[in-house]
Amino acid sequence: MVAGSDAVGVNDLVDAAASLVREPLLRRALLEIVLVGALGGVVGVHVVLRRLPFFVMTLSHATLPGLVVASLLGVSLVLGAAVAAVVVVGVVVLVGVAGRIEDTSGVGVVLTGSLAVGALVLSIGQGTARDLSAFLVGSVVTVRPLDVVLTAGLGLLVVLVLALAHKELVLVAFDPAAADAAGYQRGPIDLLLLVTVAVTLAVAVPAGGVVLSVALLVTPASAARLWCDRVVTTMALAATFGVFAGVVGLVASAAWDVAAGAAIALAATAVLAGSAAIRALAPSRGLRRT
Amino acid sequence: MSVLELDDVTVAFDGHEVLCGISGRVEEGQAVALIGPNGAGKSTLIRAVLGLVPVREGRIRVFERDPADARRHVGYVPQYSRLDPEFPVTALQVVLMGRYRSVGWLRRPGRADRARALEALASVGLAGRAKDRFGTLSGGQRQRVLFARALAQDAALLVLDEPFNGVDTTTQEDLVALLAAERARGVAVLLSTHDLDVARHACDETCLLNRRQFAFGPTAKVLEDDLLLAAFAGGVHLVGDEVVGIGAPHHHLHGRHDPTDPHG
Amino acid sequence: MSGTFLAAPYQQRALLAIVILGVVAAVVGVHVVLRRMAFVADAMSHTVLPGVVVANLLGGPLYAGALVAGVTTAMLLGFPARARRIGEDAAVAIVLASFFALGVAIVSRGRSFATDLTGFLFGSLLTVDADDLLLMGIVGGVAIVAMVVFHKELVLRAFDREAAEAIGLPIARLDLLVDLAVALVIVTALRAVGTLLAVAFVITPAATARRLGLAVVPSMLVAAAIAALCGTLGLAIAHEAGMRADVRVAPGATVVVLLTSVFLVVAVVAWWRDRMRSA
Repeated sequence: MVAGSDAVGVNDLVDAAASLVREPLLRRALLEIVLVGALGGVVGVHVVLRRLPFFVMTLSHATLPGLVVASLLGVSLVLGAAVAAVVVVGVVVLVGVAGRIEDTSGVGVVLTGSLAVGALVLSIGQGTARDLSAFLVGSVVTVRPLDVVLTAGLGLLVVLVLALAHKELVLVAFDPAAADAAGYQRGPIDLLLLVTVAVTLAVAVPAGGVVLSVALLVTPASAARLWCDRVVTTMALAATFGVFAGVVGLVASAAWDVAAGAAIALAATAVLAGSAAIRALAPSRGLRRT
Repeated sequence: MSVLELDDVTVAFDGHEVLCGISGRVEEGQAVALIGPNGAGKSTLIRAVLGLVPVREGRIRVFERDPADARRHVGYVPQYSRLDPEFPVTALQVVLMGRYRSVGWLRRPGRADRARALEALASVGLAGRAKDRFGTLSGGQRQRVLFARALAQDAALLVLDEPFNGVDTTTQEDLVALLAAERARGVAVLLSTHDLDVARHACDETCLLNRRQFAFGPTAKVLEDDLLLAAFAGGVHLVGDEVVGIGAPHHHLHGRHDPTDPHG
Repeated sequence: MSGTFLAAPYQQRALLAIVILGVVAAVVGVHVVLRRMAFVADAMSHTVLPGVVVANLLGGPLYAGALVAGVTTAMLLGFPARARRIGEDAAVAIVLASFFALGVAIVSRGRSFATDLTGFLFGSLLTVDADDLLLMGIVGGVAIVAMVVFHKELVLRAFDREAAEAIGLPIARLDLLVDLAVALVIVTALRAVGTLLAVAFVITPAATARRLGLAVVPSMLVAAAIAALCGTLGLAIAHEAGMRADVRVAPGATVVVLLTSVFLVVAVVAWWRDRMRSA
């Protein structure tokens, strides 16, 4: 990072921003976070509409064993996370828990269980505290070129799928009974959504960490919902907020020597808090419905 | 003293009025039915009587006190469908909950409380299922257990929110009989329902409402066609010129069968 | 490392710590499961991080920092979700991530970032000392007493919120009580297994007991027993693996993996039994 004094100052910010563009390592990180921020924002809107934050939290914890194994094998972390996430989604759907997402206790068990498995495997594999914290907090600056390519490719795929299935997804989210009545199969649609979320997490977790990647999915989308009334515009705004939080967080992280994942999450929260404050102070027409 | 006094009651949420102009009295041993379409405010009125929502204008007196101060004497019977059938409680434990108010904080229900609970459970015919998990009982049986809970409280006013929804005919009849028995003991009853027949059989007075009060008086007078038509504004089913039931127009109605489906 | 399992005092302390934690977490956990608030409990395990970090920075006792952060979270989450546009789930997730991020941000500026962080999050079971045990006993004891004293009210509120309101129970305060109890459990767990694994002790044994169809009080007893057994077994496995195979195995994580396995076995058996029954 930028070798800086302990004091925090605006100059540091400017220097950091410049170095982000100049240095190849950081440029890659910037590109990655832009992609992840945008993708997280778009998918995050569905996460929020379908009330999936707890499930997403669990899924992101569940990727920990995948990250650990991938790291031990020297393979791409995104791949490891993707495999773990898809496996968990598969298990969840198979056992039919997906229909009982209100079974929060069962979901909670999976969350802590997979965390423990990850920690256990890591300790057996002689992993260090450094590794564990990197997984939990993310390490966008150690992202590899392959990861960026994977992110871009998977991200494009996800957006395509969401675009194609858009009206079905929105209908099921808004009025499941009507969707059933119209003949839509809810099972496959839900599975599609969960897999989309899993892929997004696989991409976000190596960058933002197990805990904080949730921030990229939930926070920008929640902020966007305060401004927009239609799903598509919400997605666009969420993506913008996500990118903004990602870039600001990365710059702050470089400037002030703070973990990137944390800075990004805090930036996203700041955007949300700001949105909420502005909306509360200046309520305009169209937001309140009778 | 009158059990319940409603004096031009108005309730509002977020600045919208959801109920206005509700006035009437319930005396000891009387039963009053709340009749109105979905969204009419029946549940809201019940919640106001229980002291759970504030009154914006007008006054509610329960046993000549503020509703929140009279809770000791008011037994609430909600709809059984709202409760999680997987919850690990037995039928007896549910009925015992009715004793909590008199047992008070920090103490356990004693032998006398358990005896009273068993008695209440027996009066609804379920003494044999005391140790069974609540959720293993049928819908009608669960509704009876909730009724027994209110009985165990030795309440002087019973407030029931759509107690006949999704409940078999036998249970309905038994509940009506139980209500009659309570009334004979001087207990007052306030219940909301869609079923006009139940109102006619079980309740001497009726409050007809749809956001505002259309009538409050003897059941036979209130449940007259022109008043019903006015209150239900088209959601009334006619055979010939006679009103035989209430509900959304496109449902089939047959007398006592509950046509509307507010809870899926 | 000494030869026989439990021969050394540090192992005895570790076992005692796990058992205390298991019992306390079981009692509180049954209420968490009844109220379906697993997510809130998980959130609190993350939100205590800034409290712990700041306490460490100021040189104060970690458990005090955790307590302050836990209480703050409990009160924050108690606010009714007034913003209809932000669902309750999303709000919990956002609070979770923000607080955790704050904690990480602060600790990441320090030199020993990684070690500190893992220490807070995963504890250090084998270095628990007598003072820690005393603290665990006291804090855990308070949590248990609170749950016992308000038992019937808590159960009624969990079962039938409207009826509880109708007889005048203060719902918000009862909910806050459970949230605070969870905070106390996390404080209890802090040194032993860390904040993140604490939730496993709260949820998993209680969820297992629930799957077994037990009533409330029997659930607490069975959950505590499961925790104690898995705790002992987990420690033994970690010990033997270290002694025999020279494999370093995190004891806290081992116990949680065992708890989770027990849950999975019971869940599968229960599911099978239900299928057989309805067939």
